[in-house]
Amino acid sequence: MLADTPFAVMGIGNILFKDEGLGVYASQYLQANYDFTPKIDLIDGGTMGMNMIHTYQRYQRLIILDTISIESTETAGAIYSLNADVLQGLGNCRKTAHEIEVLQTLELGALAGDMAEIQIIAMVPDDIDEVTMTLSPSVLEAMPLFIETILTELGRWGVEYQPKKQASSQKISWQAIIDQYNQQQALCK
Amino acid sequence: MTNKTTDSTAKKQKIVIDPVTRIEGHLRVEVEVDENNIVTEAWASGQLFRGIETILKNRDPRDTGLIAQRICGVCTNSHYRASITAVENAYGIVPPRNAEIIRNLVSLALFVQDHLVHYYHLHSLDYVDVVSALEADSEKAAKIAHQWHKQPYNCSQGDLEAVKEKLGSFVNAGRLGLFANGYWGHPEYKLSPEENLIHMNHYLEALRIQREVSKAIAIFGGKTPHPQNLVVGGVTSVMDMLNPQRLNDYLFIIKDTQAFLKRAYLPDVKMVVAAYKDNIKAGFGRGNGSFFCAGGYDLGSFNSAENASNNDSESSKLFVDGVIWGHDFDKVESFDENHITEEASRSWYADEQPTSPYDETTEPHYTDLNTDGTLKTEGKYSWIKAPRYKGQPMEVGPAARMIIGYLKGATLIKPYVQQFMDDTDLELIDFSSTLGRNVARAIEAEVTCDVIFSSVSELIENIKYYNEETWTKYDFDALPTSTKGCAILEVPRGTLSHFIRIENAKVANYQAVVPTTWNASPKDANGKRGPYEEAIVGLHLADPQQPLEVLRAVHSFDPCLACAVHVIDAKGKTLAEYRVPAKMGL
Repeated sequence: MLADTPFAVMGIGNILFKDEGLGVYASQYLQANYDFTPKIDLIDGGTMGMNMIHTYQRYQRLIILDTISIESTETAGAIYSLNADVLQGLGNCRKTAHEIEVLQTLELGALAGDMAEIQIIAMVPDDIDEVTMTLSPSVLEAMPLFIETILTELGRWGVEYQPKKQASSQKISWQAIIDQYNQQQALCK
Repeated sequence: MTNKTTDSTAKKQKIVIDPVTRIEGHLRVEVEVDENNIVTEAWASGQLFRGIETILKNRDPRDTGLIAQRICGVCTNSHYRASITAVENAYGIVPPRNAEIIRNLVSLALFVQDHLVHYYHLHSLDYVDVVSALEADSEKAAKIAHQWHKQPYNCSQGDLEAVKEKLGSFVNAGRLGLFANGYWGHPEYKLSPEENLIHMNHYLEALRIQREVSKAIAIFGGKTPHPQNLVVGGVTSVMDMLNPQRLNDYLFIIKDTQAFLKRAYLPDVKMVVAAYKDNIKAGFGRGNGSFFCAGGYDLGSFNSAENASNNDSESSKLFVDGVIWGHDFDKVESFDENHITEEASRSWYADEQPTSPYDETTEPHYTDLNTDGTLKTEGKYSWIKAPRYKGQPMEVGPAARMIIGYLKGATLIKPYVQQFMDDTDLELIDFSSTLGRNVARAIEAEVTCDVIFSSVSELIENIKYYNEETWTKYDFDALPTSTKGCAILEVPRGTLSHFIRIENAKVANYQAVVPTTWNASPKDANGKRGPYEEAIVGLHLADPQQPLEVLRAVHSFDPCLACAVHVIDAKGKTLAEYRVPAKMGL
């Protein structure tokens, strides 16, 4: 079952653990502030595990927004943009305690076939331990470049974007995006 | 996985396995083996503090479901339902039957999906040697497949040859990171190349099937991956319920899945049981034999239509509640959630005394690892607390449910279990073993899948007679401002409980005791081992450098600590060229 657009941007991570949610918030920020032609799907992918394979197969091209851990003493807020194929083979050869889902689902997806072409745009987080729905200052500071990197990649696909017309000329702020998740009950009413 | 051996004494050596889960989670196991390579002691340790409950404090109780579902990306729907149910329980709100059916349609499909994924993608490679499959004779394999089912699922010679080529091309292209770390060629791998190929064929098919089931779940779960179909008092997916096309889509997927279960999953498990029967009969991976099941899933009209003579309220449920102590199958006690406590004398928390989950705190008290990175096995060693029932460690999950269901004559479970035992020459005690847990899981997948059809029939009947009610109305401002409640749900991995205490109409305390907490529990103040630990002690390791037997035992519980990190870990890979340069003027 293909989606009704060939393009999607999916944020991955657990919003309960501070910067781990940066990809999710970024996907919602794009949703709130931009219109895209042709239409693209913006997905709060959360921590969906094996269900991600379904998403990989529904689109022709997909951007995954996530946090990334780099061996060097890379500073929080550093941004990487790479094709998922670059990470093939890393799926289960971790010699560290970290075992993650994304890389392995990419490999299982490749095995299942019909994969989207996947670009990973990821940021080095500052704090993914504290249980709180906020973002660190260094991550917030890097967000404009993160968004621009995503928009540039979409441009490469031929997707045009323009800022949404808001009631005021201001963009919907990061704080407002994060607050949406903190005030769920208000949303449901 | 990292395996490290150190000499702790002249005779004993310690092995560290870290991490244990194949895809999901964050768990470490240390074992001590004697000079005969027999495990004499074991420690299971959750390596990550999460403390998610704290984020729920002071929130509107109606919000907890949407936040609690984020606890785990794999068990989203289970946590969502448990949280909503706990709030309903606290307020005494009973959702209408239709809402319960729709919740069940999601939960039951989850059993099927979780069991399939666990067995094929997270566990089967402990028994199936993927490298050996590449040497199989596909013609011979097609014949062997017919020994295990008269219409084996996609097992023609052509199908099997195609799978062999596909696997070969992946392995040759060096693309199988997933398979890169197996103990291939270990003497404990007992399937023939042909049997391995049949199994790998279904491993690939199961990837497609589990994806379809996730679509089915989305039909009633609404938005994926973070569903919003449940509200306190009922469900919101009314339009889906009333839409025959959506019901048809759902049933179509479940029907195909059912065919896979009956013609691939169950036959594959039988094939593995036959090859590893000695392990089962020898009781490899047997725990201390104390199990409980909280019961649940009202069978509704299925029960009244087909078992009208049986008015026993217990057997009107899919799962029957019960408690078994030390493999004593002659006595099954009733289950009472008031006997649940958690303690942290060996866990990295300050609150050490056994405490009711309503009153627990989640205050970290980390005492670190030894300088060589091993666990301080004499003291605190895990982020997992020690849940106890009447003060005892308990095993939960499919084996508990199938054993208790069989002993208490559960309408559906008993005949399915009986059939499997007759087909494979197993006894009930055999379910209490490494492979037995997988047998129980496979039977449970078949039962839950079959129940889905009767649940859909009941829903259709209700709609036909204009019973379209899916929400119980309540006035939040008229509800008590201080109350407490819980949900004790059987979910794929075992018994999931959420406890909520409400004060001033806000969450005053929240605790989730999840299946993996029961099974991966550390020791307690009395030194009693948790179920993983108990299952590992006594195992003989063919090669302590490749502790496959330990992995099998732990994997057989379907560990889930996916509330772990989701960072893309690119360590060991040079990615400098992909760094996005910061720009001036931004």
